[in-house]
Amino acid sequence: MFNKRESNESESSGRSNSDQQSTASHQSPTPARNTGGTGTAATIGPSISIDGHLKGEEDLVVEGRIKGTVELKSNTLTVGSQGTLDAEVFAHTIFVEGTVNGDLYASERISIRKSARIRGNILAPRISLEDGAKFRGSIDMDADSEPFRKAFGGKSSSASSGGGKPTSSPSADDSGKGKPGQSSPPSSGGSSNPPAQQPGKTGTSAA
Amino acid sequence: MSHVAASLAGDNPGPTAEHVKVPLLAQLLADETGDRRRVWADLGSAQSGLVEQLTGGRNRLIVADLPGALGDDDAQWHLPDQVLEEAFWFEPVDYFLCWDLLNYMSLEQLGELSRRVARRTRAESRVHALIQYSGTSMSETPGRYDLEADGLLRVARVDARSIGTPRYSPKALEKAMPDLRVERTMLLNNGMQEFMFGIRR
Repeated sequence: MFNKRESNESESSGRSNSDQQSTASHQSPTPARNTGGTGTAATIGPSISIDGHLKGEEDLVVEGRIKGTVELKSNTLTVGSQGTLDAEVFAHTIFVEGTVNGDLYASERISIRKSARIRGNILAPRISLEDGAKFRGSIDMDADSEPFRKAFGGKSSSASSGGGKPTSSPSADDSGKGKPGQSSPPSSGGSSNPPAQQPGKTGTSAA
Repeated sequence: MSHVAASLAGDNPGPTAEHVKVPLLAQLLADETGDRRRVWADLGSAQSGLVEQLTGGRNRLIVADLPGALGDDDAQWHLPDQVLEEAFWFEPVDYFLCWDLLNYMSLEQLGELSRRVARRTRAESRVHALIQYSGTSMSETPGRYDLEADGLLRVARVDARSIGTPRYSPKALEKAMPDLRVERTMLLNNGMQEFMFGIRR
């Protein structure tokens, strides 16, 4: 649950860690809810705002605000209808009902619901999008693409013919070099930083 | 008379939709084996049908949502690389999908668009568009398009109000867009003409 994860969170930028933990610890965690992932999930409630690097090993529902990086490499992240992410996200499966300004990487699947507002890149082998969703950015379904391999490992694009399933282990290679348009990663201070591509973060609010 | 035809004729029942065959686009999709990485740029709004069609292949789909930029009253709504910053265009685009957007651009805007598009493509890239050729009026704002599983295109009017159509001819389009050349055209049963453009090098 949320409190249990505090020790893993808030490794960087913006407000001080003490501020963030103080904010979190004075909020009653919203009751867990089932996301359709591995079972019940921790929830970040609408009044909670986190600025930094959030990492965990359980499913998470976000109804509040997160700025920074979210890494749930083996789990499901749900951005609820009230949730707002200005973040780069790495997860096994991602459901979006709310607002995202940033890049989403999933080793398995990303599902964009009709209430979603997204600006950024989304990368996953399987992607579904409901009509009515507002999206501006790019959708990469090529599991052999360079950004995807950097995020989750996997085989070389030059040696494969597509359709390869990535593993769910984030790569240590976070240089993001060699591609125009790739900027530096957020200064999360974490040791397993995700790849650097995050053009969606340079734009304005979701379309 | 179809709902769209009725709208164009003046008895406007409000936002409507109809299905049309788009043979040139269907052929383009059918020819793609999925072995090679392909980059698609949809200048329209995000649609579930196209995402479903491209899922499973080595595809990247850029969604510029120019109609959304038009709503923002942005003077550069017609330029995909203004609406989406440089970082999204880091690799050449194989296919640009314009849907009905060219009907909403002036000759000058078409020229600017063709220059920007050509800059983002490779020699064998293609540009697909739907142009009003028979009707004298069209929805005041661009329509919504959705590819369906059977290959038909669902075309929805999103605005009950109508404006006149420019009725661009193939010759006029080539003159306005010197970086593109008309490769094939097909007349559709909904009063539109389907265009496949190549890139001039």
